[in-house]
Amino acid sequence: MKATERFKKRYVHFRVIGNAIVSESEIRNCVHENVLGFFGESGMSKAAFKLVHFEYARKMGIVRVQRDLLERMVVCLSLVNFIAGKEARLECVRSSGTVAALLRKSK
Amino acid sequence: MDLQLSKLEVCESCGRKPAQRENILDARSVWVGKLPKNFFSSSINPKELMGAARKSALLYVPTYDAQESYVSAAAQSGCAIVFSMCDVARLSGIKRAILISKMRILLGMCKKYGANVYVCSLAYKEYEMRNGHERLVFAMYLGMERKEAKKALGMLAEKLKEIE
Repeated sequence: MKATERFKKRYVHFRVIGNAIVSESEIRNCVHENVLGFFGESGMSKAAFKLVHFEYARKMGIVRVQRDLLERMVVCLSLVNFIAGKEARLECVRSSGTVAALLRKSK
Repeated sequence: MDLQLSKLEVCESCGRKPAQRENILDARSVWVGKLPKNFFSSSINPKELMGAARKSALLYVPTYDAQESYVSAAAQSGCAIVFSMCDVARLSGIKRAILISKMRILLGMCKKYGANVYVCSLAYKEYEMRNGHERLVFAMYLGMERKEAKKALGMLAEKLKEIE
């Protein structure tokens, strides 16, 4: 496949902020539910969304999204105000073209 | 520069600077109570909105009703209309969709009349504070160009400088 035909994607690094204690499954469910609610089923499939990486210890994660929809994904994640009804939210830190770059910069 | 509705301390997890500083222009985030008198107005009453649009520097309408009267008054006096991210974030589902739609209509009216716009968090709690990139992207999501969105984020600092 030519480089120009390849699926263009970006990765968004987010972290969980807030003093409430939330479990890993609650955070994962929250991300999926909010993206589904924001983009809808059709939009979510077009956006090629995937929760690529999640570290509960560091309360950070990385999601994959189609390059054109990067800004919408940032809005979607930043509009999360409660996680499983608790006072916590997702903050987008940065975005990159590779997971490795995000992991390197997040250390 | 961001604006908060309540007096917040430093957000430990975010590591943000404190809002309660001697010189508010140095702070990244400012509490509404720290602003000069008659700088920030909030109302849903049409008559009060007209008066506030003429006197204040920032006008917050929690219902985001698009009324030509106060938008044109704000445009003439140079008052900026506030769009809050937390108002959207606190809602979900159909209510959120309706609010975003109202915001888009109001923004369209602001553009038509040439009124200034200010996008901020208006956070009640520390964890609700949004960073600059999130606010910028939200402004673009509402329908602003990147240049307009950047200007909208810096509106508070601009207004404070005008007063100084």
